[in-house]
Amino acid sequence: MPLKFEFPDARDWRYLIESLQTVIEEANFIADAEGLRLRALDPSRIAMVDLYMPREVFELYEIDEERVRIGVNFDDLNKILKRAKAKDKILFQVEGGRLRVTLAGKAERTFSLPLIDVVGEELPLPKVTFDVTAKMVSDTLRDALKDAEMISDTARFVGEEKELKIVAKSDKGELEARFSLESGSLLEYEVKQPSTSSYSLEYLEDIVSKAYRISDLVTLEFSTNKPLSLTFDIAGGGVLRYFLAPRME
Amino acid sequence: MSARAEVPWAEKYRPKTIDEVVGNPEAKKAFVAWLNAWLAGKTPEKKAALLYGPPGCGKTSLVHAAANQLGLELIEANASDVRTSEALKRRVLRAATEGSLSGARGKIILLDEVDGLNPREDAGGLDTILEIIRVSRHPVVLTANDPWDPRLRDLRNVCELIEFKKLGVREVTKVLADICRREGVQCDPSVLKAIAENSEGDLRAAINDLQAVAAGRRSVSLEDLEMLGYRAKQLSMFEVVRQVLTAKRPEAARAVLSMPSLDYEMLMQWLNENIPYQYSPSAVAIADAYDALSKADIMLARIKREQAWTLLPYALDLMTAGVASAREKPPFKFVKYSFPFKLRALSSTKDVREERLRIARAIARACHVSTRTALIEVVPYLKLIYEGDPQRGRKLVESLGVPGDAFARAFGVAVQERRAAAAAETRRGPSATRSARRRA
Repeated sequence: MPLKFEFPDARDWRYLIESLQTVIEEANFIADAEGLRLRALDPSRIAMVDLYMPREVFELYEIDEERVRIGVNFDDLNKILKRAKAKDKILFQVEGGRLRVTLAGKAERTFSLPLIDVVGEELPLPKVTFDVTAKMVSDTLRDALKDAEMISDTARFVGEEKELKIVAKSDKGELEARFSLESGSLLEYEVKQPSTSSYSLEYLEDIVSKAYRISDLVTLEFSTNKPLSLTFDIAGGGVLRYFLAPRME
Repeated sequence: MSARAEVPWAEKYRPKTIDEVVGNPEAKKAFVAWLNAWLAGKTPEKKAALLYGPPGCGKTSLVHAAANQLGLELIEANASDVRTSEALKRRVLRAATEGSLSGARGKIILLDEVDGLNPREDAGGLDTILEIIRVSRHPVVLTANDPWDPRLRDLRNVCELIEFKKLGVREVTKVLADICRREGVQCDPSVLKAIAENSEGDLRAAINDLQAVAAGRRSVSLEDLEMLGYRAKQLSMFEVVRQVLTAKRPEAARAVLSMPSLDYEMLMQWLNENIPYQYSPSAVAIADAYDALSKADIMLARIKREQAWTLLPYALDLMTAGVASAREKPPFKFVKYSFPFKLRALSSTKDVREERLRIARAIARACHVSTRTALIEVVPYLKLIYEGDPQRGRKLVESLGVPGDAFARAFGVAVQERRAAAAAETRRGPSATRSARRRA
C-alpha cells in the first residue's frame, strides 16, 4: 500500500473538498513524508488555492514511496463524502491507480474510485508583499461579503490606520462594512501602509461561504491593486490558503 | 530519439521574441503598435485585434512571442476547443476583468481560431466573445483563417484587423535550416526546399513534416523523403506496383496510399497479375503475397456488398503492406510488369459479351423468364438445336425475336456439317421425316 491516511471526521473532508471546488474541479493531491499538499489555479488563472495538511493532523499517515500523486475529480469524491454521517471516521488508501475511501461509523463502507490524470504544472506562490493584515472571525467576513453581494459584484477593501472597510457601490446603492480592533470585530490588525484594492465578489463570496466551515478564523492580507490572500487555519497545523487577483478599475 | 521525438518541434522552436517571428513585417509592426498603446495605459480605440491569414503564418506565434518578450501573462483559449458560452465565461471572461495573480505586468487574452465557432452549435459563443471584448481590461487578440465570414461581422467591427500573408518558400526554408542546425541534423538543401514548397507557406506544417523525416536521424537525403512517401506525386501504375512489390518495409509499401488518386481496384488487378513475375522463384513469397491479396479482395467484396466502407483501410493495408510483408522475398530484380490479363480479356470480349446479353434479354422477354435463366437454361438448348439442325434452329431463334446470324455469331454455334446434311436429307421425303419423328 503506497499511501494510507485516516482522519477523525469525514465531514471536515467534505467541507474541505467543497472549499477546493470553488476554485477548481479536479486536481492532484501530492503526498510525501511531511504530509499532504495541493496547489492549483482556476481555469481563468485569477484564483489559486494552496492546501497543506501536515501528517500530524491525521490519526494515521503511512507512506511507502517518496511522493504519491492523487488525481481526483472533486465532484466524484464529494458524492462519496456526502454519504458520511456525523462522527464517521474516514480512511483514504491509494493503490493500483485507485483511491479507496472508507467511511467508518456504525458500519464500515468502502468506496473505490479511479484516480485520474490531471495535468498539473509546478506553480509558484504569487510574489506579493502585503501591506494590510487582518485576522477576524470567518463568519463575520462571510456576512459582510453577503451584504456586499446584494449591492454589487465587486468589493473594495480599504485598509486604513485603525479601520478595515469593505465597500460595495452600484446603481442599487452602497454598502460600507467597518471592522476594527476597538469594536472587537478584528482580532489582529496591522497596516504598513494604507491600501485599497477591489476583488470580484463572485469568487470571494463563494470561497468564504464554503471555507468558513473549515476554520473559525480567517487572516486576510492585501496591498493596493495586488492579489488578496485569505488564510484559513486547520486545527492541528494545516493551512488552506487562497489568492485572488485584483479587479482592474 | 525518444525525448526529442516527443516534443513537437513546432512548439519547441516557437519564437521567443517578436524579432524571431519570421515574415509579415507590416503585420508585426501594426500589432506591436496596437499592443504598445495598451501597455502605455492608453486603451486603443479598438480593444481587440483580429489577426487573420492562412494557417501556419505566425499569428499565434507572434502573440506568444510578444507575451514572452514583454512579460505578459497569456490567457489562451482555442475557440474550437472552448466553444460554449459557459466554458468561455469560466476560462476567459473572469480573467478579462481581473489583474494578474502571478505578478506579471499585464495579460494578453488570446482567443484562437474564432472562425471555428459554429453559430448554431455554439450558440452564445460569439456573443460571449463580444462581451469579453467589451468588459476586458486587457488586450484581447483573436485569430482566424477567414475573417470575412458573415457571421464574424459584429466581431470585425470591434477589432483592429491585421492581415498576415502566407510565408514564402525562402522564409520557410530558412526556419527549417535553422531547426536542423539546432537539432544537429544534416539536411540536404533540396530536402528543405521540397518540404517548404510542399507546405505552401504553412510553417507549422513544414516543421511537422521536417520532424517526421528528420527526428532521430543524423542526415536526411531526398531519397529518404521519397521513401517515406513524402511527395504525394502521382506515379504511374508501373511505379506503384514496383513500390509495393519491392518495398523493404511495410511503411514504404503503404506510402503509395497517400497518392491523391490511387485506383485501388486497378492496383489489385495489377498486383494479381504481377506478383509471380516479381517474386518467383520463391513459392513462399508468392503464396504469402496472394494470401494477403485474397484477404484484401474479401474486404473489397464486403465493402461492395454491404456498403461497409469502414473496411476500406483493411483492404488497402492488406494489398500494400500485407503483400509487401511476404516472407522469403527474392532479392530485388528489375521486372517488366504486364497489364492485367483479366482486364485485357474483358476488353477484347466486350462486344461479344454485350451481344450475348442483348440476345439473352430478348429471349428472356419472349420466354417470360429472367435474363439469367435465359442464359443458363434456354440458350444452351437453342445452341444444341442450332448446331444439330441449323434451319430449324434459325427458325426457332428467330421466332424468339433474335436474328439467327447474330445468335450463331454470339454463342459460337459450330454447325456440324454431316448432321446438318443428314437433317436436310431426311426432310426431302415426308415418310422419312415421319419415321424420324417417330424415332424421336
